[in-house]
Amino acid sequence: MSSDAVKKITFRVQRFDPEKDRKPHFQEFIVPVKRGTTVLEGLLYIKENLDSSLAFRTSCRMGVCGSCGMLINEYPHLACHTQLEEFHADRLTLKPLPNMPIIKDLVPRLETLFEHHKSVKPYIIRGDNAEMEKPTAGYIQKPHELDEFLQFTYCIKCGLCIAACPTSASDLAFLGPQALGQAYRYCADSRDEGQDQRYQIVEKDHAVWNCHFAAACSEACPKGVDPALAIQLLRKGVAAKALRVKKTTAPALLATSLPQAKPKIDVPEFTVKQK
Amino acid sequence: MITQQHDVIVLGAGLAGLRAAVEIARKNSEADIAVVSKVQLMRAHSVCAEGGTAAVMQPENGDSIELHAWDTVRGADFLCDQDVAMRFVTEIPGEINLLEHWGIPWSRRPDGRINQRPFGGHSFDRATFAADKTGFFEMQTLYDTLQKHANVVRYDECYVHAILIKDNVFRGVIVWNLTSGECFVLRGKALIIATGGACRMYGFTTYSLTATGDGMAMAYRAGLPLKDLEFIQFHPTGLVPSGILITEAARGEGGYLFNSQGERFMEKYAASKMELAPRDIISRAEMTEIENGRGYIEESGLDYVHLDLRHLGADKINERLPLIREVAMRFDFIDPIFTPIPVRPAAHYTMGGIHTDIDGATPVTGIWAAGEAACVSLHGANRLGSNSTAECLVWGKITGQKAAQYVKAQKAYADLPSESVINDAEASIFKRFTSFGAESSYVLKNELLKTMDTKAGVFRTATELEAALKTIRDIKQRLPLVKVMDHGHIYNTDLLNALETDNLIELSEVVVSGALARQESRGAHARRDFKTRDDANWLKHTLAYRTADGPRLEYMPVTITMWNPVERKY
Amino acid sequence: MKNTYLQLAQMVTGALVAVLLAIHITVQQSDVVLGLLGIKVAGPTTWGSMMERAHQGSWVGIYISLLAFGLFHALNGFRNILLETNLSASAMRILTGCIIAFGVIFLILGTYAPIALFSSYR
Repeated sequence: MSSDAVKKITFRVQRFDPEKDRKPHFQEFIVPVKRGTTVLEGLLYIKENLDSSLAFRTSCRMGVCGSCGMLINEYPHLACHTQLEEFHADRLTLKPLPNMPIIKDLVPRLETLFEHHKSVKPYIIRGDNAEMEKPTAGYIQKPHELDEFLQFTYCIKCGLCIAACPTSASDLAFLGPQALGQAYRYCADSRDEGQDQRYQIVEKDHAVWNCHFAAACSEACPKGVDPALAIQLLRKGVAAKALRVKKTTAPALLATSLPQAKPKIDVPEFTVKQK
Repeated sequence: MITQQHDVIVLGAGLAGLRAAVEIARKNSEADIAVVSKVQLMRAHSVCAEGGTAAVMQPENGDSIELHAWDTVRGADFLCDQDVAMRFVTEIPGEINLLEHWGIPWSRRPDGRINQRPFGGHSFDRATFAADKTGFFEMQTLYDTLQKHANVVRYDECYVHAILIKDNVFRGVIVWNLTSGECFVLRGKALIIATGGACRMYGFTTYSLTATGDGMAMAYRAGLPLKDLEFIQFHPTGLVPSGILITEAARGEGGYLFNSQGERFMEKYAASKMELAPRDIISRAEMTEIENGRGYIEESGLDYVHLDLRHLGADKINERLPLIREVAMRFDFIDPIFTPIPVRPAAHYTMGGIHTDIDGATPVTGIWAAGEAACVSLHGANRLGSNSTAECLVWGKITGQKAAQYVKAQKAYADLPSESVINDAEASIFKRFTSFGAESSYVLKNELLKTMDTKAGVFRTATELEAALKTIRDIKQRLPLVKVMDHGHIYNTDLLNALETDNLIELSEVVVSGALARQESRGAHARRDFKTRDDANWLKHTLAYRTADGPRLEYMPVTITMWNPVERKY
Repeated sequence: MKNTYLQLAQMVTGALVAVLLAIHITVQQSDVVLGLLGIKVAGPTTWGSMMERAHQGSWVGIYISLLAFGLFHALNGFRNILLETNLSASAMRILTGCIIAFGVIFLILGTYAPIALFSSYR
């Protein structure tokens, strides 16, 4: 685990302070890095040592919380998840994610993403209300049924797909790869009965039929989700519904309860007298 | 100042907070709920939980709730309230099924039933899991389910600085909205504090950068007692050098720990459980190996042992531990299929927290606490792996229900405290620090982290703890002289860092004072100068109250309803 | 499922326009196109041969279909492009109305010519 020699990299960072600036400008910082230094660590170095007013989002620093999406050398990445050595360069340009308003420096406004996501009903919809309110057992879901939607559940709502999407770039009302991917995720879940409701939403203007299939979303996703595939599969589902060739399958059934077995390991006798 | 009002304010949007919000929303569609979070929803540290959630789901194969309770009590080194443990193990299976109905991708057995895996300290394979992203998927499921409910208002990226209490009744909170720069009073009938733990006071930690114990600190300042804060869990497998969590499931799935001499050293420390002993025992074993020169040397001082997964094979690693492989490759340039992973104990969990009763209620009317921020006394002196996400779900639900009932009965909002109190609270955000001081909040924070890492870690002594306390008090004195360079109100993370540092310092003083006072070794609190557990004097909870001269410690008894303490051996 | 029908129609009309347009171009420029393919034809396309086709019902059908499919495909496609220009929903509704009116007028006009020609020789 020996660390390699320290070298210096110039971070060219887009700055914008809404309380002072009228438009964004760039500022350069020199950051010492070694093998294993991530872009986020570079930014933290700047904040702690060079300019503490620099604003960026960060939290988990391990690529699961989705906070630190930004444009690094004109391509969307998670800063924490990106090694500086990937770029083989002495200079790095950092900008906030495009296709959304800027709050400050590298912090974009993601409200539209959250709203679009909400609009596709991203939750299980079923008819058996009593069971949904007070579960008596789990629904049966075979591993192959899980595989139907599993990759789409990896979405961390970081917004990189939207930053990469050419349709999102021009059409602000476009639901975008994130929301459409999640619409598919729930439609493909064997426990769900809400397909028809979601199909009504995603077949409207600015949704599945407006994707140009650049598939830039799938390339940009840091978690290996393929939203472009989800959109194609949604189109297939919507078209099958429209042409009335859709097979309807009953949603997953409850697991039957099994008799309690004798404990494998004996619990020690209570040593406190029970009332 | 502007005032907004909501029936219930859920502070923190991790697992416990989201679970509470969903519970209130679905039980009372009339209730007006605010979810207030320092980060955007879905960025909370709960997404980093990896391994699983413990629940008795397979009684047909011989598991039982009594056994889960016993494992929890024994794991806690008997400092756990046993009525709480029983409530916990009874409630959690229902939560697993509820999440299942809400769409979580639980890993499944071939017949389509929910699968479970072994976990440290549990006598049965009862960690319910979704690959190695369990916390993430639980968060996603709750977040998605929350989208269904119209009576929830989001306050994303709103830092809450102070809790307003008058006559022991909750009134509201002071909020700084980072994205708009506004400061306002959020008035409410009920508050649920679910802001997570405080291990960011350590340098080598598995925590997210934003999990800085803010809720605990503001509750403590508002006069609420903190319980058992000296018990800090060190997770045996923090990735060197970043501290990123390598899930216990890596050992649950069969991973081995080796020292630099190629020995599976856990033989010496917990022969029956080996790598699946409770975390405190493994962390001490690792530190003992490292201190005795049987670790691998790392020039930064983070000496380590090896976690070896190679014998599990590529298929199992890819199916069950994909995140671990991704993390090792991304951050350490090693592939666990071919190379052992360098790990050492990392600060991972705050067993203590805001003192609550079995229902999660704090001593102040209208305030509940849930999850890691709270100390309902489930985990005692050492938490078992996969019991924390479970606790968040159970007490998220319970506090949600209690708060929902409470606000239904409360027709009117309680009066706010006087204008001057509110203005003071606002001033304590923007005028807490100077613009001419000589100190840097980053330097002070790093000093704190180093102190906690070296002097209040896995093993503790009176001398080191006293030195730590001295340093902490020194930092505390210097803190008002911190110079904040950024004077803006919008997304001023420079000021935010200073405020977080303030919170961490406040809490570290409680941790170290409690540790210094507790003259015994119990669970995660291991004193070299008091090597054994002392039930005669120390089978009691610590309560810390804030005073101007530092914490005032009081003690309260442990509730023992089933098993009297016995020797804890694995 | 209105949009889905429109989009499916867009695909189908696209394919049909491609076929019909190929037929149209090949026949209209038969000496050139077929010549390029190495097929020898009698002579250049003449006024007479065009008039002959105008009298055959099947050709009239082909021309009207080509017009209808082409108009639909082009105008629906044009609307899809407009969707990406961030116009307000009401502006979009007005434009959609205009596009439909435009399509209907040109369909009527365009259909009138071959039908008039066809019936005048009866």
